[in-house]
Amino acid sequence: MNTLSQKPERKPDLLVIKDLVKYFPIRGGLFKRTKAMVKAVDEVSFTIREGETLGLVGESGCGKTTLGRCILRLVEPTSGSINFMGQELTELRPRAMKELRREMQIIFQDPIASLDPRMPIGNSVVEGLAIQNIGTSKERFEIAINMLRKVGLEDYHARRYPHEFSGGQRQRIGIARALTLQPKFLVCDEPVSALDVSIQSQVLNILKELQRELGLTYLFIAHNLSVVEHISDRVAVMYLGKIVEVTSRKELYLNPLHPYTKALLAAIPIPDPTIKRERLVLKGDVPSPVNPPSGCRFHTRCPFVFDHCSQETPPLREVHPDHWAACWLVE
Amino acid sequence: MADNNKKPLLEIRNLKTYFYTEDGVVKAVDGVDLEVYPGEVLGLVGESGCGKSVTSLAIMRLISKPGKIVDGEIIFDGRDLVKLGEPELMKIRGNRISMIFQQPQSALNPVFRVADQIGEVLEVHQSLGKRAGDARAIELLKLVGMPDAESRAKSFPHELSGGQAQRVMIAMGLACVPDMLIADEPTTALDVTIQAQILNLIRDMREKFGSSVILITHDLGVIAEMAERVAVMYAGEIVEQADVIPLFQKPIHPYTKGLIGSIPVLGRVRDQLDVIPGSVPNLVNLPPGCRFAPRCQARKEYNLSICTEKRPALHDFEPGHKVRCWLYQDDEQHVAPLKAKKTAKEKK
Repeated sequence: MNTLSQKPERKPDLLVIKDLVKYFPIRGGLFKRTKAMVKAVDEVSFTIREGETLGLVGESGCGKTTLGRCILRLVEPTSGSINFMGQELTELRPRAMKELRREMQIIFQDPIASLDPRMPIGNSVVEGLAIQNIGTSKERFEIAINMLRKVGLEDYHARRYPHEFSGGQRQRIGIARALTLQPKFLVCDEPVSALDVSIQSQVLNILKELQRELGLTYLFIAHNLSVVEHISDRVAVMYLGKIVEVTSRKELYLNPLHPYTKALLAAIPIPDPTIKRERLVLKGDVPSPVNPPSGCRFHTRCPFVFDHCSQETPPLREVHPDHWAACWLVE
Repeated sequence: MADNNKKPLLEIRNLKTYFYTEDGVVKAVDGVDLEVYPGEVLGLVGESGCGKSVTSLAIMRLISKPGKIVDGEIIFDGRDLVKLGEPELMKIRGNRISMIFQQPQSALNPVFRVADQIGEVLEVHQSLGKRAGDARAIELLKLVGMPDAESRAKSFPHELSGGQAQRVMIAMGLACVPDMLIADEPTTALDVTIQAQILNLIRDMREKFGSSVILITHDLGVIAEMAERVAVMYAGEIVEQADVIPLFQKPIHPYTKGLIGSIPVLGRVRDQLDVIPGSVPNLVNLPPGCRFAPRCQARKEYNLSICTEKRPALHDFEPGHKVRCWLYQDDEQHVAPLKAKKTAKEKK
């Protein structure tokens, strides 16, 4: 018993994703035939454990937002399996899916675009409850006020409209709205990247506090690795529709295995002028996901590339316990 | 590092740039003093709406209606840019001072080929012909590390990626070997791996051409990597100015301290980030006294009343380290608490 309890207990899986694929067709010509496919998410597998934050990091166009939306089936995945608390989401009928959405919510990047400009925010915040037919409108208003208090807003704010708020306040409203249904799982899609630094820390702190208080599980999507490292327990790194590395945040920072992760870590400017770092600057741009490179998708920019890389796609393998990487160089 | 014996290349004195809008007068830049020395990289950092971009546009004299430079001097190489007429400004813009913008794709003209746009700068300032201009454009594109420069020179801007477009902007900015390059958030629209490329490029070009650089950004990480001296802006004024190492190691203005404490740093995970409560003031209706006072924790700790009554001036705290804060400076009827503490210690 004692030896067991000393080991950090591995929490049960909340969400298991297997071989998830999302291709967007590019249509053109007279009969709008499909000319090509944008391979936004290509055979992605990972798990999210109960109560943890999984950070999903990658550059623009790598498919991280599409992946987040596929999980909620806001975008229908092309193939693959999404298992949430033992239920296979891809097979659920719309009504059952709607029921289940109580448990899984999303916060969007742009808080202005995601709030109805003509609806007082008190109503916006509880629209989810109205859709799910929970409570009377009076009860819902009570809940709205409670939620607003939780994210640091005042009661009188409930009657105001989105344009009356600052960016940071709007993002808090987005958080409040996502939490009214008391979900277990929250997808945070770049929740702080539109905010100024001094406001960003307010929102990050609120997200952390709420997680502790309500036992939430987050999928935190961002392009800023410093932010992801701050909030996550584990981090998944994505490049051109594929996950190239998944591990705990500490391991990722101290012992990155994939060359892309290494380059990403080296590219982030550190706000400390006394630090002199070895620069690993990648050449070239991110290739198009319409025509991704053969084999390992990173091989066109990888400083350590060799013959085999362009021939065969490296699988995501567990290199060390709980440290997965997809690279031919990693033994 | 600011060499005090050197004469500044650019000296801004009490610059005020206001915008006359329907909602009132927006005091975007309100009394900015700044100097830039030859060959240095000056970082100008602040949050959105603090006036850092307007300052740079004022230097280029690109403020248009409803905006106006209402007061102040911008002395560049002995001449006051505020007083110059348009023909004279044309000789300076793009030639002696040039600028690169945040959105390279929208700063380039979509209907002209890249080589023609770079060639235009050379045609205006160096009277190069079409063929010589094209050849020089390709040379410049190679210099800024454009892959396959010959064929890219014939491309239109929409055919370029964000990083490539920014390289074109830099090539254009450097075409006439300017004395000063103003880079307004040059990497904000780019991904981190591309940002690293562009920052490296700006650093190399600065070494090659010896131009001064004003680097405007909201990213303290970029500032720490690139700048030699830093000015921190808040609500239209400079609140702190110092060499880069003292600024990060020993920030003294409560806003600078808050800003540095509020960003997550890779590899140094803390449980909680510092928070600056509230948000940036409205530039039409500025608070009386210090503009940071409504959000300032230090003011509350020391229970200072002057902060909300009288606007502090930018004072020397130490040689080369300026700050605009009542915690550190005296007024006639007022002894600054931190200074008072220091003198009390000295008396003992």
